[in-house]
Amino acid sequence: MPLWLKHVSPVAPTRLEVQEKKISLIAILAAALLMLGGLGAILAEGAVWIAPGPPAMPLINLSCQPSWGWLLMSLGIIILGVLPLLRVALAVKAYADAGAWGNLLAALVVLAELLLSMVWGLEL
Amino acid sequence: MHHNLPHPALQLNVFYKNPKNEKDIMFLFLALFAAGLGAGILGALLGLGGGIFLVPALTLLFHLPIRAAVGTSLVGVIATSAAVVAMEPPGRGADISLALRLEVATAAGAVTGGWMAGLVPSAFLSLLFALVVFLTAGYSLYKGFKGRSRAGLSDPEPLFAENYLPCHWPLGLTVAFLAGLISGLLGVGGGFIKVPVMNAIMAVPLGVATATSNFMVGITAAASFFVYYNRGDIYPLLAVPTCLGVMLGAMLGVRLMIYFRAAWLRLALVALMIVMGIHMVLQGLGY
Repeated sequence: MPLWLKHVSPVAPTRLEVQEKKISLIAILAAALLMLGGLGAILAEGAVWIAPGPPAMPLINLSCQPSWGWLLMSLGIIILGVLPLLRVALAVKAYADAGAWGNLLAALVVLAELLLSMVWGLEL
Repeated sequence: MHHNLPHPALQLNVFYKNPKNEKDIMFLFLALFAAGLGAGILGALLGLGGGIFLVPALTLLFHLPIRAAVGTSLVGVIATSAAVVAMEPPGRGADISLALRLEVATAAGAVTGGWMAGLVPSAFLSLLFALVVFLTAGYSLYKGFKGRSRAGLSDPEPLFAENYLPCHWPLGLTVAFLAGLISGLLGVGGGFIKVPVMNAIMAVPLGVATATSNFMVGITAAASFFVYYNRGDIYPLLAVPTCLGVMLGAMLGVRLMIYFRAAWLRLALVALMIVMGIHMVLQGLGY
């Protein structure tokens, strides 16, 4: 069986697992606060909306949101979208530090695929 | 101040017609929150991202166009994955090494699926999807019966174990690629394929497979998230209440998991797969 396919328990898995938990918890709390804040701001404006409202603005037009409420909600959604990249990047660092080359290779390939999809999406 | 729809064809027609006041809007938010809550709980319990529940709910109950439903679902899947990873107890988490190795194939499939969207006839895809789902459900049931007859009812299968060795990597990677392909095309995380593949084919304990799948689905969904975001298929007023419900539901689902036995979870997953398979067959045949 090729070396990279061998299931090797990652070095110090508990540390990586703890780091993944921390970054996930921080991100979902931040996203939830931004989303709630944005939703609250929109309701507090007193405007009457016909759902579903405007779509999330493209990243390059993020500063052109109709109001603070929309900007906060969009930022919350973006944080969630970027979180998987951060999690994989964290795994890359951990495996590089530990010298777990098979896992590192897998993590780098996944990171490259995510970055490719991000670039491809932005070009649309 | 009165804000109009950006797309004249995008109307919400189920719970109420053209919500125009704050009470209607609040009811919509609560309904979306409830849908997200249910999807999050089921997703966390079964190792899914919740998209397999959210997309049908958003299209059937809320009558959203499929692309808006898929966009909302993708955000929900990422939220489910993040919430489960954040809440899972130590020692009962994802096998990150396994997740990333399988994700090499899954993410490639998701990117390919996103590119192929619109090229493949949807009927063919639905039937292929149904075939994979039925085969996986059948094998999961077979493995479950085989385990029970060998171990006896008094020796329940452990959800989590320290010593296990994933096997059948070529088949596992191939099906992981297919799961990613389906994710990119249909906006689901693919967990309903990944969990039985890891458990039934690759010999990973069901609890580990569930947690690992939850880790993976967020990455898979992220592979197509930016495409949908920049195309304008994600609506904050829909995605935000759904996501908030999903986050809370996923956190509850993680806490509830310790009360469930592996056999129950397997049966629930198989039942879900059969229902989804039948749905896809009917869809593929044009019903």
